Amino acid sequence: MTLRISGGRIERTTTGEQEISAMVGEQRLWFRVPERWPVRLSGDAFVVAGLLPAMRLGVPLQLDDDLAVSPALLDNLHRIQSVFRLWGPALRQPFQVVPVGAAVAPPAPRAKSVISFFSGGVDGFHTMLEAPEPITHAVFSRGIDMQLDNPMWDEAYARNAAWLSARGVPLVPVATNVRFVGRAFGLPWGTCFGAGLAAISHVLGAGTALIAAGHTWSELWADGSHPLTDPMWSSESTAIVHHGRNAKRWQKLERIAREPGILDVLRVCWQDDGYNCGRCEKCLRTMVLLRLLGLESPAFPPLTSLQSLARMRPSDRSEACYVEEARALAVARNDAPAARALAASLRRWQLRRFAGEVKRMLQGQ
Amino acid sequence: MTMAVRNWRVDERPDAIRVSADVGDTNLWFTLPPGTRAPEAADSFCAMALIPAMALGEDLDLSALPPLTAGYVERLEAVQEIWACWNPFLRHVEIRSSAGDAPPVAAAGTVAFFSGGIDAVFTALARRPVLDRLVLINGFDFSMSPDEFTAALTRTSRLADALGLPLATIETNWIQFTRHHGIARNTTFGSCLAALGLALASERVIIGSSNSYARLTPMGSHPILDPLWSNGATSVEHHGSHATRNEKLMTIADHPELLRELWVCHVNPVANCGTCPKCLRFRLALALLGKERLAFPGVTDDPAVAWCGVIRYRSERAFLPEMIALARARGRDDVARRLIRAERGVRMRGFLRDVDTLFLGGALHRRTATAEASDLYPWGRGPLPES
Repeated sequence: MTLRISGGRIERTTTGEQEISAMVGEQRLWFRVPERWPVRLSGDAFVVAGLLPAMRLGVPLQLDDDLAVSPALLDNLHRIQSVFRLWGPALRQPFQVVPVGAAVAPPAPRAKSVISFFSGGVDGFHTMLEAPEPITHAVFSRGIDMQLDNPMWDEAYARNAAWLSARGVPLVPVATNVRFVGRAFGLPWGTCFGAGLAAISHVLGAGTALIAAGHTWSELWADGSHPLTDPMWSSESTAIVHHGRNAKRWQKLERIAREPGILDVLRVCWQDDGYNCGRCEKCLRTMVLLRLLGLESPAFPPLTSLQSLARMRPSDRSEACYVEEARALAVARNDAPAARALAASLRRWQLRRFAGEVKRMLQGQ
Repeated sequence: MTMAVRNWRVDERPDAIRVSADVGDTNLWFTLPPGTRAPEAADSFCAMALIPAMALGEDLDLSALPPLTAGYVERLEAVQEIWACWNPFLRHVEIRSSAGDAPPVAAAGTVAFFSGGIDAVFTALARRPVLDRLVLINGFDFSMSPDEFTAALTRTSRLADALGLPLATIETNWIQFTRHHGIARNTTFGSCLAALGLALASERVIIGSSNSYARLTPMGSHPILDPLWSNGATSVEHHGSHATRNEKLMTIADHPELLRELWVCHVNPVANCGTCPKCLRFRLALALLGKERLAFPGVTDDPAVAWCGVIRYRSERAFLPEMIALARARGRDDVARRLIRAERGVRMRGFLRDVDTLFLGGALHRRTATAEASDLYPWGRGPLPES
């Protein structure tokens, strides 16, 4: 059995976008980019998107000859497989090293564009301000940063584009189902989002693509986007750069708040329920950071009750880590009520973990 | 406050080049093999002194030394960024160097540091086609007496001969230097290797990994950190994280001439003591591979029983999953069952700790706080018993 990537094509959609697509096994993977963006058919994006599914299935990955792959990227795939093989238990994925068959493309020159993935959240704004080189384009991904059918897309796009436009950075809209293709193979987005963003970078032919980090250097657990693995998705022409591990989330928020207009458009919510729903875990921990830093943002409803904070249920250690950072800040800022509420939320996480361990012990695992 | 580095001296002797400088209030020195070009840049001292300076929170003043290679201070910004994040006791410092840039000098070739342990031998085997020489250091794992170093050199030379690679030596007082500053080896050993690699001025310097990708933790040598010490002329590379310790051992086990001479011991710099936690783990892995008699001809006790006695050490129990997997893969269900029982014991202790934290407000922890007070070195001074 083989996971075959075939039928690569570039078509124009009815809305005037260019759609680059191929079949990954039985799944059609597509990327839609603006009509004037220069694109070419290559296997780079598809081999990046298809590698982890093939490793999960434990079958060879084979690309059709018209989907040739950069030699540097092909070489990097050995290294990235060696990492994900050993991360398999931590990511709860049975990753195996698999052969990758593809025609080798001639090495392409490095493009000049520097893109940064940007949804208008804390990490994206921070990287926009602190990038090691000027960003030429921001990329807003529909299907990743927002659901494909999210009615808030137009508003979020317009607000982000306006802020960026004032700084001379165009916002490039990209739509893709790469997130859902991974899911079809049993891969949560958290496991493959570095590969997904790298695939978009290759479709866009970026010279450098910045992926904003969600955590600091202290939180180097196995994850879909990681300072070790993100650069391994690079080719000769496209360098993938993981950026922003030097600052905690509250430090990023403090930094971006110094720039005019950011707090007016800041959007962190993934719930597709208003601009920022104000009730989800991401909204709440951002709202409490605003409170602790003495900041106000019209993009968020006011944090009227700390009960909602105390009721937050961090679902994994990444979320628990954010809550712990906020709790430490609350202690440092002598905000005892907020510290207590955040400690209560953390206790929920600890109890949840404890219950999981008890269950595993009872099951003899 | 400033940590000043002064009195740079390079003594070219027939048997070695000795490079030294006063770093703050202590002298730091190392020797280089004869034939090595005497260093013209202060990069190695910068790399060796940076973490002690960060620990003291003192700017590093190298202005009395030759200049650094162009851009080296900027390169080390990333190192400082990572360490300041990993360890709250380390703070970002300014690095001042003398005016001008040292030429980026490196001779063609690739060297790898070589203690004769599993990581080093695995890397030497894997990278043998590109390696020009191996380098053994006295003053890195141990500060050996002349007699001990001669014995270690004899053993390591046999390994190097079996690999068909020349072996050079370096001596340094790095251990005393880091102890003087109260910094654990696990924090600084990557910077020491990188610094000596820069002083060797080969085009590529390879550091064998201590941990696999499955067990990456903030540590002095790390696949993200090591390359950041490169200086534009010498590229520092981290190798071997793609394999677990047992996978490395299985590769080496195909070469009895190497297996016979492997040295893994934490206690004895010359021979494997056979009883320290590392030796016991090594023995168990060898026993599972049916090779124990090769490296430990005299021992008779059951290595599984012996190793289970030391998995209270955090550094050892981290190897439980791969040891269980190896036992199963080798059809040793008896050993696998014993290890699983030991693992359950470890989990039960964790379970009780969680019960204490979550439901008893840490009362049990407070009762044992005195015993835990010894665990003040999160960056490791050797294995510490689990409280």
